[in-house]
Amino acid sequence: MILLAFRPFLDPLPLWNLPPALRMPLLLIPLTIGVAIVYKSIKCSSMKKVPRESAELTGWILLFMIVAAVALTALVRGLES
Amino acid sequence: MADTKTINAPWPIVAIAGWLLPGSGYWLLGQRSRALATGITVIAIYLAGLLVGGVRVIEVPGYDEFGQHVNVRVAGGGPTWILQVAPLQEIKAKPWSIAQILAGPLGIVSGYASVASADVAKVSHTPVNEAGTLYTAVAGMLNLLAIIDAAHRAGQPAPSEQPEAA
Repeated sequence: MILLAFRPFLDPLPLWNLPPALRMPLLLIPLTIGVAIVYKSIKCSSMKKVPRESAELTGWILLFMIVAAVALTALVRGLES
Repeated sequence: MADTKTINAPWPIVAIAGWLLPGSGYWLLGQRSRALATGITVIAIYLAGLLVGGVRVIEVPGYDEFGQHVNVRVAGGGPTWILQVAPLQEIKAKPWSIAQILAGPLGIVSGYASVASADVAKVSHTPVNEAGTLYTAVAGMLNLLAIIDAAHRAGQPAPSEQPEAA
């Protein structure tokens, strides 16, 4: 029912049905892919290298974000206990 | 792919073209695959931000959440539009608008649409609003990177005259 009332670009995307812990991580994945494509398009001497290198960069960014999230969660829980 | 071919073009023209249409700076240099990759991605990220947060994620300096002028009272006068009195202060209060405008006329058009649709469009809230603002601002910053790189390439000799990059 909510989707029927959704007006693209006028209303925010109805993401509140998703679990709160999933919203930001899911939204960050497309942004990470976009950042990696543009960065590698600028950086690579040949555009043939861009698909592979941007896929690798996307993986590294996501990996480090997960590591940072785990480390910060552990730090906060350690400080709270 | 014609991504290493370089056509000479004045760097200011390349920079302005890159702002007017993301990726077109590279297109002027003959690097069409690079132009398409950067241009399509920047525009897609910007539009994704508008789709996620709604067009009201674009907060235009000088306008409030109802699409009305932000007025301030100056000494010895009536209410005056804040952009006429303290434009830098207002822009500093909405720093993401600087990044959003770097996406080119798309930023201006969406800013106009944001103000014009203030009475019909819904304002999103955290974290959807943050994500929409982040997407649009990152798109603008990536376009700035592309503009700088294209302008830099415009000022360089053709790749055949350069030593091979590592």
